[in-house]
Formats: sequence, structure tokens, C-alpha cells
Amino acid sequence: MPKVPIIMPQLGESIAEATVVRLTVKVGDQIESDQEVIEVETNKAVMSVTTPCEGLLESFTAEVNETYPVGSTLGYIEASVEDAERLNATEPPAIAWPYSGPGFDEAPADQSVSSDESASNTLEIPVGQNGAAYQSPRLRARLQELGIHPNDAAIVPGSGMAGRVTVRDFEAYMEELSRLPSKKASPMRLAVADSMRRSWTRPLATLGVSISLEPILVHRKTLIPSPGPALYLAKALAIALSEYPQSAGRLVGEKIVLPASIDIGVAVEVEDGVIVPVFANLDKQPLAELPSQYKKFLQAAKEKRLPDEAKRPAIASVTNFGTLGVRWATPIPLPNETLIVGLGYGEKRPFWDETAGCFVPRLEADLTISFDHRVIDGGQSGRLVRRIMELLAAPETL
Amino acid sequence: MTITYLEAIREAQEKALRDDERVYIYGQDVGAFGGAFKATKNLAKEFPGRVLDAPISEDAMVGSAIGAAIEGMRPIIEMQFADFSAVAINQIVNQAATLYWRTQVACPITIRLPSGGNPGSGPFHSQCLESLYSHFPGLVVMTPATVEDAYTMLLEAVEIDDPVIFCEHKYLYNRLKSDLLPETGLPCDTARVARFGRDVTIVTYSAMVHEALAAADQLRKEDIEAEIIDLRCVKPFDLRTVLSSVARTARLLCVGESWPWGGVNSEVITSVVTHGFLLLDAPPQRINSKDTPIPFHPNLWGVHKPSSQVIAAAARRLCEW
Amino acid sequence: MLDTLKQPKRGVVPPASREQYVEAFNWMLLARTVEEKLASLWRAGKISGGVYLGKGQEAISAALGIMLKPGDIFGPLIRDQAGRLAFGEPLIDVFRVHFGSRTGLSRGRDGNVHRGDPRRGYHAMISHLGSLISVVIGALVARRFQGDITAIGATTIGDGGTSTGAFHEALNMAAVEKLPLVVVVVNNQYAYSTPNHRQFACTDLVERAIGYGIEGHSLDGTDLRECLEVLGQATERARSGHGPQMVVGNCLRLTGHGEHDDAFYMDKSLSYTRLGRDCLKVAENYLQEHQWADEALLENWRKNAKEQVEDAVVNAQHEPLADPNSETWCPYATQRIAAALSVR
Repeated sequence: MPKVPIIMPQLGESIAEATVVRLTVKVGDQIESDQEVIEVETNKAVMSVTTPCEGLLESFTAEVNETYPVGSTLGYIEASVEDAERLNATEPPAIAWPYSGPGFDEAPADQSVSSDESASNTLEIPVGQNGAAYQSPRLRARLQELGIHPNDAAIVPGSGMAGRVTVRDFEAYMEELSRLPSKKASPMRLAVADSMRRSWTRPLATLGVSISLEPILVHRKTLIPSPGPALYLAKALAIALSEYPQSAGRLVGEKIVLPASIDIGVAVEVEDGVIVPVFANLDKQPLAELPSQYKKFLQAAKEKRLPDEAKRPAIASVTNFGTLGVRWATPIPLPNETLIVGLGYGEKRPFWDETAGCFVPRLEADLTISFDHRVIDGGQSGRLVRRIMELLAAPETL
Repeated sequence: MTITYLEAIREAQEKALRDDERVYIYGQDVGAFGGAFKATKNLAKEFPGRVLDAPISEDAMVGSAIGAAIEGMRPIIEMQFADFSAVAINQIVNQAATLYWRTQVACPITIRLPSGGNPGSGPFHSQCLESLYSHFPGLVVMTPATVEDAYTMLLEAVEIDDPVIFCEHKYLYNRLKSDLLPETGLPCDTARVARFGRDVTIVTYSAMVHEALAAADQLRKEDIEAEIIDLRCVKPFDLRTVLSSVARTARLLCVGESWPWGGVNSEVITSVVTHGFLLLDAPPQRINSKDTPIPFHPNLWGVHKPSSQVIAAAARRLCEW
Repeated sequence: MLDTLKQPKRGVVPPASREQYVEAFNWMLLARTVEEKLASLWRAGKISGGVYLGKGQEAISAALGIMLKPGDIFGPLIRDQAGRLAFGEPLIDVFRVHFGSRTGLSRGRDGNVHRGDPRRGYHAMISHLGSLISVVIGALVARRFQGDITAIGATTIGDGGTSTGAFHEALNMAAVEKLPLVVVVVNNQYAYSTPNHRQFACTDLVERAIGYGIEGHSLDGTDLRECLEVLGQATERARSGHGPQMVVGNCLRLTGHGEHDDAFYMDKSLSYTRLGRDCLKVAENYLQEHQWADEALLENWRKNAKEQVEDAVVNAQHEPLADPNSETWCPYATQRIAAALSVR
């Protein structure tokens, strides 16, 4: 015969347990449905537990004077197959309230912990999926506290949603760095870094050509003191830009801001950085006067005491990386300049002489132009470069 | 010797009646019967004439408490269920809460709200109304989560010169036990760190403290250490303790059994965002009961309110954020 | 009247004496003078918010006020200027509260009729009708706890207020507790614009006393002599242990609901019934008929009332008004609770 349990019922609001006071029937008795078989006492009242169906009382599992939680089995009835099927099919409802831990008695029997994750899925946490670039208020504040630009935090590998850098990621990274040797960066270094970071917000492109240095070398012998190749290049750039001023325009919002005068910077390496003294109105200055001015600027730059007129913002710059033995480079224009022209290392290269019908050695260097592609395109920069080449091929016109 | 949360409430009332002749208890069935939950068991016998059965008139019960308080008494009103206090809401929020503001006469009444659900209690015997009462200026709203707090905070509620809404949780009544009652407790405006942790701050109160603690046990297995703040009192609540916890963890999850709209969770989150925006490494989250009336059947009820699984899942996501 | 109504026989207390009648009349007169001034100040834009007057109800209110003794509890409603004054409200407080003076009972936090000094048993009503009755009940419960068995409590309500649940809960509760409470229902025929027949369906509101198991009384609110007699009897019965007393006074509101209301909806024919009489005029006639006062004395009293009111207005107007900078903005009496909330 199948067995049907007699259950400790929920005997009132907030009642968790009850104490068995008396068993009113004996094992083996024939029991009716809804018969009162056990008397129990709560802190509120004495009540009777009734049977769910008729049958033979098979056993009591509960003992008098013992306390049992709501939902406990107190005994069993030997019942008919039909009754057992009907009653055992309805399991006590699962309640997702797994109180446990300090202060609580063991969880009541019917408080089975549901492993069903649907409960947690019903509460959606509304966080965005585009976390990668997101910096939390906490991370921002921490970066600010350490004097780190928000962009610089992007190098930290992120473990947050979509690769977001969490504060903990950042602190771990900083912790790791703190174990490596470090020294304080000079103000010059920081200034260059800041300038380059601001420059790097633009799409920059570079193109390069080879030029012959020979006309310059011939011509510079006619001048005392004689200008270096960078000054020739600066002067040629100034003339070319005076003819194509929009090439040095700056894109600000919906406007191209055009240069008011042709002021050209010439990059000078100094200790731990670069200084760019500016030749104002260079298109209007005779080439012959440039060497002495340049010498003065050079000295001042090394002492980091440029005169005010050389500190004005330029519209474009020239950099002679050839002096470092570098053949080709992609220099970066300063943040407020749209382009920079570079000159590589001069060297003898085979040049196909059409009239002689053979290769001849020729002193050449590579000339590069790096520019803000939002403002000018390849064609425009190409035309600018060809004009510079023309001018350098005929230095007497400078 | 163990004492339950419910017995602690009874003991506190007994002590208040014994120590302070201004105290009396008024509510439905609180007299010889000892209250629907037995929170006033034997008190009518011990203190004749001071534990009085009230007619089913919640409005007049609270109104009379206000009048008695004006005359120097310290009444404790037992609402049979928190849900029924809605009948008295006019007296509570318009009369009691405004009295001191209007007249400079204090209104030291304590209104006990047997709150929260039990399996099978349904929409009108399960409500948590702390958010509702917190809305009104002039009320103090206490939400004890432990046997000790149930005892000391109820005594404190009787002492406080303002109307106190004392939200005692019915689920804890007979289930939560302690060995003995303390002599003194923290003042209500101080929160308790129920568990220390480094990864996420869970701010909660009342029965949900225990759900959160159960969630923290689950989370520990995944190497997530949740810090649990038991607010103890939701108005006022201890913002300093919450902020200092968020300063450590950078993540905030608020859990309450009341409904979400305009609730305690919202207030805690707003305060943290206002005063501690720069402490946050992830958007603060909240978990409340579902925004529906409370269902009767345990299958529905079990998922209507926050459970430890839901809290753990939310904390986990917050830590992954 | 229904047989079952526990309406005590009239004449249990002696008829009103000249002294009592004159005292009550002077409170009526002062109240009428105060309210006329308030209406005028309101129309001149000197009072913010509403002004609610008790014209036509002064006899009931004054009679109730003078029946109360020091130590009694009084919860007046909107049309109880006379009773408030008779209970001991300083005249200047009327104007302080209406002006929103910083020194007023509510410091500009609540105005007009929402004033009181609960420490002195003088309760401050809120707008929710019926809700003050249980507060007075509580005060009486407290007195009983404290061993004061001499004090009674009185409160008033209108015909409309009897329809609230709060009214029912409170009367039932007072009856259960057998408290010395006098509830005066002033049936002035209209609750704002709603006439009696849309407010209740019993023949007479006093019938309700039967249901509550308390003693009920009726009176003609236009007749000060009857007001004194019946309210004297009701307060005496309450004081002598006969439990709650319900007194229904019938009259007509001789004004709009408030000064903003021209009462166009009122049935004009009521003005020509007994109900529509002006209790002040009726009392003046009574004084003269009984040769308790002649026209010269009446004129003297009127002049005196006017002077008192003018003085009070001038003094109140010299006082500082509510000021957001000196306001505490704190609704809590407990310092540490206030401090905890001010952290925000």
C-alpha cells in the first residue's frame, strides 16, 4: 500500500514551528479523511493536525513534546493508490527564501532552495554594453588625482564589461608599475608629450620625394655666412605656402582658418626635447639674412630663452632629421599646425642621366611632408611638394 | 535560553511599560489575547489597564495616540498588519508627522507595523511600507533586522520625541533567535556593517539583511566578498557609513523588500551619487520586490520579493561590470 | 424625536443667567468683529491663503467655549472663532497666525484656522475633517491615565464632517471608552456647496447618537439661550460620568465657505426661516427684551470689541513675518534625528 505523509501545516501568520502535544489516534487505527490525529501547540494556540485522506495509520514519525518546523512530516497513512497519486503529486511549493546563517534555526523543511536561475534573470540590471571606452566617475577621479590624462588610461588592459578598465584594473596596473624603476619627467618632456598628444588627435598622412641637394650646395657657397639645407627648405616652404596658403589652413569646426602671415618654425633638438623657433614673415625675408638669425635662435633655444618674436605660433614647421643620420621619417605637425616638412640625410645616390645615358652619382636627400588629411589631400600636398622641389632646384630664386 | 525576534519585541514593550508610566499599548487584540502574533502576550495581565484592545479603527487609534502624546503619554500602537496602517495614513502623515512643525509640541508615538511576507499571506498581509512612510517629513522609520535591534530600537523608538514607524518583520518573528538581549544598542541613526567585504557594498535592512548575508555566502565561493550594511533605520539613514563602505568597494547594490518607486533604495542611491559620485566604479543598482501587488501563492511570492539568488546574481553582474 | 434616543430632559441645568448670557454674547460680538476685520484684511490683500468665517454659528461656538473650564480640552474647527476666544485664545494670536507672523502659534508654517496651543489643551486642527475628534479622545485617555477625572474634551464638526470614516471611528471609540467627550455637530445646512440631502439620509443627525450608544442633544443654533442651556447640560453630563455627548446644533451658514466663495448655490429661501436668523441679532433682541442691556450698552460693547480688534491688528502687524532665513526647516523634535537628516 502506498504511503501518504501527514504534514505540519502552516498554522498561522509567521508561525515557523509547533510542538506536538498529543497523538489522538494509535498506529494501526483506521483513519478517516480530515480526522484530527495530532494536537500541536504554537505560541498562539493549541490546534489539531488533520489527515489528508482515509487509510490506516502506518506510523508516527513525530514525538510528543518535540517541536517540528512547518512542512515537516509527522507520520504516514497507508492510503489507496488513487489517494496517494492525487496527494503525492502536489509537492509542497518551493519557496526561494533560503534564510540560514547566524541567528536562524535550520531552514524549515518546505523552504527548499531553488537552483532555478529564472529568479535572477527576472531582474535585469541595466548596464550598457559599450563599456570599453567608458571611464567610471571613480576612475576619472583617480586619474585626476594622479595627474594622468584620461587617454593614457587606455593602455591599461580592462577586465570589466566589454573590456572596460575598472578601478581595480587600473590600481593593479599602477601597482605593477610601481615595482619598476622610474624618474620624474622634465617639464620639457611633459610639454612635448602634451603637445604630441594633442597633435595625435588628427588623421595625419605622410608622403615623401627625393630631391637633389646639389643646387643648394653650389648656391650656399655664394653666401657668407652660408645657410644650411634646413633654411633653404624653410624659405622654399614659406614661398610655396605664400602661393598656396590654404594648405596651411586649420580646420576648426566648420571653418578653415587661414594663416595671417607666413611664419615658419624650424625644429631644434635641445636636451630632453625639441624647441621650434619661428621665423616670422619668412616669405619676405632674404635668404642671406637667415643664417645669422638662425644662429641666434639656436643659441637661445639651447638656453631655453627664445625671444618673443620666435615664440609666436607658426603655420608650418621644418625639421632636419637628416642631421641625426635619419633618411626618412614621419614627423608630427604641432597641434596648431597643419603640416610639417622634413629633410632626410644627404647621400650620394645613382641618378640616371638621360643625356649621358648612364647613372651618375648625385647628392640627394628625401623630403617628407606630414599633413592633417582633414585639411588637405594627396594632390594638394603633392603640388605643394613639387613647388618646393622647383624652388630648391633653383636656389637663386629664394 | 534563546529569545526570538518576536519575544524581543514583547520584552522591549514589557520593559517600556515597567520603566515608564507614560507608556501604554493600544491595538486590536493586544489585550487578554496578547496580539495576533503574541507580541503583547501576558502584558495586559502584568500591566492592568495599560494594554488596551482597540476597535477596528486604525485612524482613530493613531489619532488618539497623538492626543495622548500631546498630553505627555508615550503610546505604542500595534497595527495588526503593516498593511492596515494605510487606513490610518491620514493621522500618521498629516496629523502626527506635522504636529511638531505646526505647534512646537512633540508627538512621541510609536506605531508598530508587522511587516513583510510569509508564505500564503497575500496582497494585504505582506506589505513593507517603510518607503511610503519615509516619504513624509517628520516621521522616523526604523527597520530592525536582528533580535538585538528589535529590542533596543523599540525601546529607543519609545524614547524618541518624534513619531516612529517601527517596521518589524513578520518572517523574522519566530525564525530569528538570539541567546540574550543586550543592555544597550547603537543609536538608530547609525548603521551596522553586518559583514565586511572588499568587492561590493550591499545596503539593505530588515529581513533582506539575512537574504543578503545568504547571498554573500554564495558569492564568497566565487571569490566575491560582499560588504553588507544593515541600515537599521531608513529615515534617517546613516549615509556616512554607506559612503565609507562605497569608498572601499566602489560598487553599490541596494536591496529592499518594498516596492521600487520612490523608495528607500532610490534615496540611498541618490544620496550616494550626489555625495559620492567619484567613489563609484559602476552604476549603482537596486533590487526591490516586483512592482505588482504581493501574490498569495508561495510559488509566486517566492520570486516576487528579492531572494538571496537574485541578490547574488545582481552583485555578481555588478562586479563584472 | 425617536424614543430610543438617550436625550436627557431639558432643564437639568438652570436656565442661563444674565451674567453667563452677557459673557457669551460678548464673545459672539468680539468674534463677529474679528471676522469682519479678517474679511476686510483679506479683501485688501493683507492675508495670504484663505479666510473662513463662522458668521451665524457664533452662538453655538461661544456657548461651548464658556462651558469649558481651565484644564479642559478643546478641538475647535473652522467656524469657531467665538469658542476659541471664550476658551482663552489671545486675540492677537488670531491675527498673528493669519498674517504669518514669526511670533504666531505656527510661525507662518500654517495659517488661518489651523492654529492652536496643544500644550494648553487647545488643539490645532488639520484640514482633514473628522480627524481631530480622535486626537481629543487621546488627550482624554491621557488624562484618565494621569488620574484627572474632572476634565472634559469638546470638539466641533460640521454636517459634512459627519460623513467621514474618521468621525465614525472616533465616536465609536469614545463610546467604547466612555470618555467625557462632547462632540458638537453644527449643521449649517451646507458642506461647502453640498446641501444636507446630498450629505446624509437620516432624518436628523442626532439619530446617530443611538447607533453609537451615546447621549444625543439637539439645539437651535440661532438661539443663544438654548445653546447655553443644552451645551451646559451636555458638558455637565460629560463631566459627571455619562460618557460621550453628541450635540447637533442647527443653523444656517450666513457666509460662503470661505471669503472666496459667494455662496450662489445656497437656497435663498432658507434665509427667511428660523434657521436663517442671525444669532447675534437674536441675542441682542433677547438682551433688550429682558432688559439685560439697552442700545447704549450694546453700542458700548460694540465699540469696545472694535477697539480690541484694531489694537490686536496693529500690534500683530508690527511683528516680524515668517522668514526663510530664520526658519529652522526642521520637522523633528529630537535633536539627533534632526542632525542626522541635515547631513544631506
